[in-house]
Amino acid sequence: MSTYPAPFARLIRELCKLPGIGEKTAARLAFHMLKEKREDVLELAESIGRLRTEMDLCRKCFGLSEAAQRSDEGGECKVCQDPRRDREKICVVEEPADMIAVERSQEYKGLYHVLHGTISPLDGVGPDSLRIKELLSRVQSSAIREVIVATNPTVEGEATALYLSKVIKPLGVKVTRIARGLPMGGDLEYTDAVTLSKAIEGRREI
Amino acid sequence: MRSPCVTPAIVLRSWPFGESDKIVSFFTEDHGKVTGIAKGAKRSRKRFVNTLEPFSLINLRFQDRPHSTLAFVQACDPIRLFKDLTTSLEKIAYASYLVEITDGLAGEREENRRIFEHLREGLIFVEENGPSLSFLTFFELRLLKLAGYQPILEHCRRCRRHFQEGSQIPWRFSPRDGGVLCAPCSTFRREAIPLSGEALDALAELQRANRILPHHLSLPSTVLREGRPALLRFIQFQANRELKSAPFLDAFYSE
Ligand SMILES: [Zn+2]
Ligand SMILES: [Zn+2]
Repeated sequence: MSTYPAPFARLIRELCKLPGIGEKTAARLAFHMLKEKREDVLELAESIGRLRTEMDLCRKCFGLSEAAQRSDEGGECKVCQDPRRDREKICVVEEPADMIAVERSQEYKGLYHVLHGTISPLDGVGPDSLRIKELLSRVQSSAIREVIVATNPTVEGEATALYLSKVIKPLGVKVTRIARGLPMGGDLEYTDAVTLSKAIEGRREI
Repeated sequence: MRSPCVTPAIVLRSWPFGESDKIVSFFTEDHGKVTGIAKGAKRSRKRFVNTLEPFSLINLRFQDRPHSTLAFVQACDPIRLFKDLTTSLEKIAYASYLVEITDGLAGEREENRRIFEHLREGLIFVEENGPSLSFLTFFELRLLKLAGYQPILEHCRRCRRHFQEGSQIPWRFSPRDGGVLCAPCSTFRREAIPLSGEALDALAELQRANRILPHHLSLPSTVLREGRPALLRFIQFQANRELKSAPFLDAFYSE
């Protein structure tokens, strides 16, 4: 990399930190940015910078949300704020990207809760490392009647679903698991909308 | 390139790699532990469906790649997917622990068919019978023996004296000495774990067994209470790493 001028090498080093980008791809992107119009490149740089100041996690569901502009604003995402959503259902997903995938299926009209991970004995990740406490207090303090567990069909996703069922059922709330239209080892984020909407339709009680 | 190998294998675990691939480690019947890269496994719904999840028993086809320690995973066909292992948290915790300690004690590419058999039978046992700390203790002792780390439990590791029946002074299990030490020999091994005569006898008997028998399945609670931490510490010492799934056994303790 020492063959590149310093600013160029610096950009390549930064780009290489991104997932799926090796040195060759990084160099290709950097050359592309050199050729682009100056405004376009600055626009990209600004969008990246603003991402972290203007995006935040929804303080209710922990999905992606625009950051509160004033301190008296709630810091809630569009879904949580929408009065038309069914407030008796919560769909629990692993990551913000999964919430977006379920929204895309257009089948589901309830609320969400994003755990930010899964229970994984092999990685030493237990329930305390996830947003499960927050989920329980939401379930206890509102009119929730059904929790739909839409974790991935993997061993970790199953472990998480089983744990949630174990702790939520005693609260008198129905816990369902989305149907196994998805293959074991699959990934919600990469599942097509039709399969996903069928899976939500065919959920079963756990 | 060498020609591909085909062998039954159990998936130990997998990690996402880049946007679409997975790194997977297997315990194979013919080649011991094999770690490889499964291209497209994270996204493709056709090639590796159902077969790269932990505990799956599959037929693995892989090829070694020049200049790489990672094999190229060509195909995985299911033999037995242990679907009932994921029907309870306790079973998942136990199965995770079995694959984690096997992974920790087995060397890469060290052929050991008996370890493969032992792990396969262990997973079948947990799937069919549910969690049992007594079974787990048997599994650990036999795995240690098959992997060449059998701890000395019959006599003091240093002076070779045998435990005096009826003696009330406990001996101590010392992971770095590879077995038990009598009371005088363990004076300077304060970190070693006390084991009563009852626990010593029961563990030594279990260690001699080649397969689990019904009376092994109800080890007295004193034996479990003393024996479990001793074996856990020993396995962590030999594997030279912390066993992440171990706390999950306590959390869902249900024996
Ligand atoms: Zn929200
Ligand atoms: Zn001695």
